[in-house]
Amino acid sequence: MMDKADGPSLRSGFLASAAADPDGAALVVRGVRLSYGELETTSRRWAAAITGRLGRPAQRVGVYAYRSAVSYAGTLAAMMSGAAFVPLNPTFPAEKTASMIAQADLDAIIVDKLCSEQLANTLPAGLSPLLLTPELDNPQFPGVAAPILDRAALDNTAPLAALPPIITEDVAYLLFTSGSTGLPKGVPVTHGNARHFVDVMRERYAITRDDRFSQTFDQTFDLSVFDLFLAWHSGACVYSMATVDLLAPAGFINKNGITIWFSVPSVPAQMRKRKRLTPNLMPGLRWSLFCGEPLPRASAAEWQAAAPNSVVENLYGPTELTIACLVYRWDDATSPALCRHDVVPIGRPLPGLGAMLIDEELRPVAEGAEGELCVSGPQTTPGYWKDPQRTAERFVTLPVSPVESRRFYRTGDRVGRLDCGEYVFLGRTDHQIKVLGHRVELGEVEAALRADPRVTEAIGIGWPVEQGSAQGIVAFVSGAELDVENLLRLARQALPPWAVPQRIVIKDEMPLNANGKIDRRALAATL
Amino acid sequence: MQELEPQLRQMMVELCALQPDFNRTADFYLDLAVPSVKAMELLMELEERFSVSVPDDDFVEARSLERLSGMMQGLLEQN
Repeated sequence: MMDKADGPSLRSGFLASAAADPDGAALVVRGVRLSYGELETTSRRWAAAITGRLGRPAQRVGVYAYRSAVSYAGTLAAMMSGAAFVPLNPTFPAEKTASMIAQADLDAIIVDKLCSEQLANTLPAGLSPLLLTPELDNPQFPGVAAPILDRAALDNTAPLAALPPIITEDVAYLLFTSGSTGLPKGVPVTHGNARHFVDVMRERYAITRDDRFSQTFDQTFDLSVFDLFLAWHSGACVYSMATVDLLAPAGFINKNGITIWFSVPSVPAQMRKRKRLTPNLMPGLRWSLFCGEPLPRASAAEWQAAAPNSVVENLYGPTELTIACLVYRWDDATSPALCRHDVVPIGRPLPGLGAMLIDEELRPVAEGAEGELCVSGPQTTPGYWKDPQRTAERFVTLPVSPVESRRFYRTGDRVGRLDCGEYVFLGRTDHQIKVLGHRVELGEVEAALRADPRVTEAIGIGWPVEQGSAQGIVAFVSGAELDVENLLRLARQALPPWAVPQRIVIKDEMPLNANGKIDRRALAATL
Repeated sequence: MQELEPQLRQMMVELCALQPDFNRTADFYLDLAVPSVKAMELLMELEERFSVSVPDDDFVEARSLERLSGMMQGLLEQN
């Protein structure tokens, strides 16, 4: 294993910062400040425990933790052990987490106190990855046969001195997104993919060790990689937020001297609704960044007024293209005229990436026409985890000139290109939608409802849609002797909270379109 | 008029998909892992249903059913 040479990775940037200033603040979580040196020592300790027990570098390590010191140190520990980190989330249904654990084939799982309460229900039968419980002494998990390293065992382990080398082709993290079959699909992202993004963005935002990053995203959302690793590659500090702090972000920003804000656009949207987004509210911000769903024009404009010393940018990108791949810089004077459906443009590809709009036959569309956005370059990930068929559908090689072809990822997003060259988001090409920034496959919602055998047909619709983004889901069902309460209970068991229908409407008969398919538009029109 | 705390409990169960018998002193966000989007919805729902303006700083502190109930009781009495 030691014959490969350690290359640039998400890990090497953190280590360089830790070597330069071990006493510098790397993280503030739940009010506790952790220095680079402390995080490095802890993560090397846990890595030593993992590799010591395995007798080899790890391949994949789960981090089953939630906005706790363990979730951040665990992410680093996975990489110190040579492994990809695989974030797990206690707000997901147990079945989904179990599927993720089974698919990821984990060598070890690092578990915090909150998630330890769910562990016995989520660890698939027959699997026994090594369990690390740094917050618990001698824990008991009924029915779990896996070996456990508890707090004392970890505290008594010497930090790993010689780290297993990482090369750019190695997987840095494995995330799971909604799949149409109901099974979460894995997206492995390499160190090379992630380092391209981090290196480009560090330069774009001229980040220094004095910067303070917000950390708004759950770690199962790849946008969290921006916060952690842009900061840690620059010697800066990350401020972990409790979810409720997102309601009053100005208080959090001003109290902690945050300079770089990054969140979903729902945050300014809810502030606007509540009339809290007032001028000069957050004068200390340098950068105001949004990603994850369409950014409404009014949110960009009002946030700009509230954070007048910051530059507002709209980032765009699916997990398969590594965090974000297009970016647009808001300008009060020129941007409003470029918005489509009151949504801010998604801009242009990052340096080094290529974009193309294609039709259903995978041919480039005519100048000025809309099409499906495809992106090529160093952030295009290797393909879906253990799923060559789906990989072949979504990752395609397309000619970019008579003599050259490149590998592209098809985003499934309908996009247009303005005369000035900026791209604009128009909608989804399929039924995969975003609800408040979370990707939801409507087929997954429908499958959950059809788990009740009395349901014959189930259709989910994103509704209401405000400025291109669904605020929730309404489901239509047909069948005999249906019980809405029971259906909601099934949905809550199978789906993450944002995918649970807010309303279930019983229909005697579903409207059909000319092709004999259920007419979703007609259903939506009844709302 | 129904008692306030059971109403709020029901609201949390519906909005945040919590178990109906969740602990009244548990921290919604750290112990029960209520996601951010749900916290926003909860605040908006509270303001709409009870026709009150909830100060952000109070809401951010009212992280358990017990404290939420106490805070809302105070706001409703002020009205």
